Amino acid sequence: MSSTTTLRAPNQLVLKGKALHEALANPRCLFLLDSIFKRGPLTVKQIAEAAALSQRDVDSLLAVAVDAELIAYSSGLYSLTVLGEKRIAFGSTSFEFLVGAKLVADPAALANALRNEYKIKNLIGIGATSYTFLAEQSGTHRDRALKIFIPGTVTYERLDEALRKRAQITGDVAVPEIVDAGQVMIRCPDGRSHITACVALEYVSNSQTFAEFLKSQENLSPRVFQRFVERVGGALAAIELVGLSHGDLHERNILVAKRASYGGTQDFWVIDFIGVPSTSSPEMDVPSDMENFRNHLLRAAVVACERYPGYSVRLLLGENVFRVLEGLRNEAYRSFSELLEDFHRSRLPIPQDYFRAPLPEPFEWLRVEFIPSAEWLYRLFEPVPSRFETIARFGNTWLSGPRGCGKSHYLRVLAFHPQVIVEAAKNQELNQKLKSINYDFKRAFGILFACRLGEFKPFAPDVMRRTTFDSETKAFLKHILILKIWNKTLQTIKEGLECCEDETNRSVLAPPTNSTHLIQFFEDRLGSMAVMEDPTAESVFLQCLAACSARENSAVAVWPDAARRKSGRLLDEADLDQFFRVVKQTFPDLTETRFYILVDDASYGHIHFEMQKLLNSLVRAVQANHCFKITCEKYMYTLDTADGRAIDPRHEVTYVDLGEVSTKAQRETAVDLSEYMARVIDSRLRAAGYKSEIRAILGRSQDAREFLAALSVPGSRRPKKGERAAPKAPRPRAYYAGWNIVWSLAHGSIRTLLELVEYIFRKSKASQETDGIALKVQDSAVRSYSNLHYKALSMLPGAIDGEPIGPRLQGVISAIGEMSRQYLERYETGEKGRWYETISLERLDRRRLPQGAQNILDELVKYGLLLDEGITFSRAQFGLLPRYDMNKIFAPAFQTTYRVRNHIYVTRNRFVELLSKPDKFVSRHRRKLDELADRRRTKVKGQPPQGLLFEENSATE
Amino acid sequence: MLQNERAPAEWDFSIRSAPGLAVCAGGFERRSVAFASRLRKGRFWTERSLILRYENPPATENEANFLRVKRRMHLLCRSEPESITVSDDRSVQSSQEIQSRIGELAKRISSRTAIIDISGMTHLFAVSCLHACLVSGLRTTIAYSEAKSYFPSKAMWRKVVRAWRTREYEGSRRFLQSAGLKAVHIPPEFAGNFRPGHQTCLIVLAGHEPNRVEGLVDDYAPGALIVLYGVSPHPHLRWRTQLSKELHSDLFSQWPVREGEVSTLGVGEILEALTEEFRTIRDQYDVAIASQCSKMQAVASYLFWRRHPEVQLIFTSPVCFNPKRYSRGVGRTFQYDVS
Repeated sequence: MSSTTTLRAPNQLVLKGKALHEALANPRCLFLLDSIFKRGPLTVKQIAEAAALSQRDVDSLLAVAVDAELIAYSSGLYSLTVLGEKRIAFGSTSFEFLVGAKLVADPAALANALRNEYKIKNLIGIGATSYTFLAEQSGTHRDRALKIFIPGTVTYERLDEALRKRAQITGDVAVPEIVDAGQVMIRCPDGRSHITACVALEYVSNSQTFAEFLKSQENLSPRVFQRFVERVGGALAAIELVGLSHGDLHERNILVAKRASYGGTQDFWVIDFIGVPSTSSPEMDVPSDMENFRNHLLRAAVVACERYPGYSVRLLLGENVFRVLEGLRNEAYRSFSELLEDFHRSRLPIPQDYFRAPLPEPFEWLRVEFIPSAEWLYRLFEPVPSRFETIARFGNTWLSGPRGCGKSHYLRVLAFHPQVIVEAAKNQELNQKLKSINYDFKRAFGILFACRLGEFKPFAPDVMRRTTFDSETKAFLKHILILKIWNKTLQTIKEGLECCEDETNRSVLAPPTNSTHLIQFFEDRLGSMAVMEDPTAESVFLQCLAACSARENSAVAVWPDAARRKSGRLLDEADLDQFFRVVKQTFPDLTETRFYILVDDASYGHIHFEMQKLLNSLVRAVQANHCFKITCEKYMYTLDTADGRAIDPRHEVTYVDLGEVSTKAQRETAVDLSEYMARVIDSRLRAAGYKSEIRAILGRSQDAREFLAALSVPGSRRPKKGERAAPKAPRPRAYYAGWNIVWSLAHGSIRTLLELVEYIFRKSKASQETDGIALKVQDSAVRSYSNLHYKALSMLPGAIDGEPIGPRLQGVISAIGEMSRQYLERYETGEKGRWYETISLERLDRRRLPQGAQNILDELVKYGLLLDEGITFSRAQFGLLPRYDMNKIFAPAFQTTYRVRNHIYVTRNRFVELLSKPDKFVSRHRRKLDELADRRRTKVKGQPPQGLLFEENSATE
Repeated sequence: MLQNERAPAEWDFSIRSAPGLAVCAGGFERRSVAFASRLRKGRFWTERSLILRYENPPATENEANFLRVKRRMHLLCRSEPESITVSDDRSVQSSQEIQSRIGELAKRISSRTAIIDISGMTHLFAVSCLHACLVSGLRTTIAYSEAKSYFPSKAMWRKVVRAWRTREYEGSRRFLQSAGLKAVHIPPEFAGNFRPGHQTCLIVLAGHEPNRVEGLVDDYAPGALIVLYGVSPHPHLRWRTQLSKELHSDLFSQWPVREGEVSTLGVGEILEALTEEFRTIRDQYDVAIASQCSKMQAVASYLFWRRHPEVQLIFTSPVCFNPKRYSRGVGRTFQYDVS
């Protein structure tokens, strides 16, 4: 990605001083320098003879050496510069023979002698000015890094001065301590003796260089880079503060070593720092500490980006490290103190008034997403106990129902909300509420996936120009799903760790005491984890979370391209439950819990059917520690799994249809809907500060007979030209008003009821003190609301066969409403005080519909315009048949009944006609109704009117 | 690195230009053929050309303009112009096909430059073309022809606002440029990065199709919204910003929302505005951008995504366009060098 590209370019900075490195790396050039060192200034010809090279080659070598300021040209002669002399002189002394020897200094014979005795084990580094050995300190038997300076490079006085300055560095600085320093006399095999300075330092054992570390760790988190800045930058800042510089911060001088303090975490060390420059001369052009630091960080960032293709560098490095890197690239820092200050600078929070917050009006929180806090989520939750008990039970559950029935609310209260737990400790009412729904995260720990946010949308086979996923892609997508569940779980736990009780400052979830199992679990499945040292106990856990999150995001970015997918073990169903087992082992508060994965709105549109199948595969797997709870809309979720099996909703999972709450057909599970809905509204009214309850405010509805009698009076006909208008009798009024009618019109949808009540309140200008609203006022508001709702249908999103879906669905609803009105006005039931009340369609057969009609039906049900009442016993005694009710909210728009008493019976063909050509359907039925009305007037003895209607209906099919 | 942040300059058709690849589309608007028509044979030639051919409605207008563009490119292209059939009904799939085709063509051209005329392209297809060219290493120039005027016209201002506010949907449908939202598209390459535990803030670059935005916001359900209303570079069209605000005024009452204005043409200015918002909210929110206004805003959103790949780009398609009430005539053609 572009971020990697941009990081690569500045890497060229590492090549600064290239000329010097090239010159010293070239053996011919070194030979040439050696010749001048031994013989003194030479001409080109002499050099060419000595090196047995052509003059052209010599000219080119000399040009390189002059460029690197190793050789100077004067009066036809080439001589060594001070820099050149030193480079050659140091190269002539070797201390490699010391390996295996004991280094002892005699204080009597030598001023400032080294105090301890060291047995030299290995040569671990050769620098421009020193040899570094691994040595064992006699007496303590501890390993030390023993640095012996090449004679003539660093005097003891200079070393002493540096050590005094170095002693001012205090605190936890990532630089090994100096254990011993002094002079030693070294006798060389060639007989020469050298008195030279020597330093013994704390040895960083069990370590890797930073580069090796990055290469070896398969999972990196921002903490690696943060710790790099803290430790390495911190050490360099401390060094800088006492007036020194490291001067030789090359790759091998930054180590990452395991710390013994906490569960195998690792930390950075800056080694080879004494206080005197490690370069041979001050003239030498070497990168500054700042440049070296920048280059290391850049290189690390490039490695990380390549490890996680498609993942943002900013997220990968962490905000503060990314900022520092930007600063380094722009040369914004003059010192490491400035750099660290910028690193620790906290981000400004979003200003208070940055977003215009919606008014705190509980009646407008029509969707759970609008509810502004988790606390309100519980305070406003009024479940149907029998349904909630089923949903809250451990086990896989699908939860469907019409839009606005509250299924998301049922699901979301099962999620772990640490703030609510803290609040409940102070708030008795909330505490009671939690108790009433048996909320206990130690028993049931809910992890919520809100699927609306485009998180699952891109996973569609169209991307691969296919209709289904191939088997490799399925496996990879399952891997992604499992990573997502892991990460969401870890994030939810993190919230529990970060949320503290006010008084005790104790977190809701106790931090893990030992994360070994968790790290081991991840390493077994994802490869080695770079876990860095951190003073806070939960840090290890957070690093695992960050590494997994990076892994997930990178996998998401590359999934359509098989070639870019990271090879390695893909996660499967077994890893999911195993993960929860490990989480239970890690967190003391969760040892007894079972995990509920709450997938809110997994309907098609948010998750593709093919992706739903993968989710179903996870659901279907055997699991002891977790279960899935999924909300979806009817017809918008498949019950198939990725391997082609079908899930049986009766045996393998629990299926709850909240729409059944309002269906009388489900008598054995029926609830007192009026009571239930009043409770829902009253809780909102209380929250909004209203004094009266909804039933008192809306009052009693008109008697049903009175209402229907008024409603069934045909509309007044305009008199024909020349005809005198008949004198008007006062027309009875039918009021869509009063609690009974209002809640019925909501047709089981809490959202519709809330909207409707809110609309009535707004139209009647009700205040918190209002204790009653006149029926007439309510009626006007309800009719207006219903009309608006009906008109809005034409703007519904979506298309069928390239045509906007809205007008087509509106046409069907209009046809049903129109027919209902016609029946109410014109059909004689033959019984006084009884009308033909129908907003319900009952099919006379179960034959499949053509695809086009089925699509329209699905959309009608999806948008809750027709309520699928399931398979019910036919009133026409035809056995079990499907029934669909028009949403009652449209009843006022058509001035028809809000009750389901009678049905419109339709065969397949008539039903198809209704769905595809609603106008034709209406005219056919109107004609038939005219005929029935005529026959009614001349009725045949013994034939009941209702039977007549039905008989006629079936006869015409 | 994408460095060019200048505002688009007017295209100088008198200057010679010879890109390796030219990509155009025969859209339903008249301006979709303007760029190809204005190019002169002696001053412009290209090694390869690719024309997007829409198979979705409005089919008559799309097809007629496709043929016009094809005829022009036949004169200007050294090889036979190639075409690719795309459809708004399968946007993501078409986007992938466009990218793959441009990738193939890019391998066969010697001049590593491309010109994309986005005037007849949907936002998603314009961004897909641009992305494909940049990924293929082509130095890319965007050509954009503005329309003479856009709907709704000033005369309809009050009517359309009244119709929309009073939910007179029939009226709204008559006045608005398209008929509501059909689908939301999030191609995987622009899917961004989600951090667990972070809410998403949706930045909407709003135009004059509140029906489309309403569907999008309802479907996406973000944690917060930033709505940036487009400001035309033409003083005589500035009133449209106010119209846009009035059309959207009731849509966001349920969300934490922030409103502002941004140019419809100046890519630099759009990038600045996005950067400013992003800087403030990025810690707390994951960010998604839905460009619903001008095509140059879609280009700017894409360039912003290049800098911040953690951002998600969202595209929408309407149920259908109202070709007779979308735009009228052709204005100037602009050019914008992306790399």
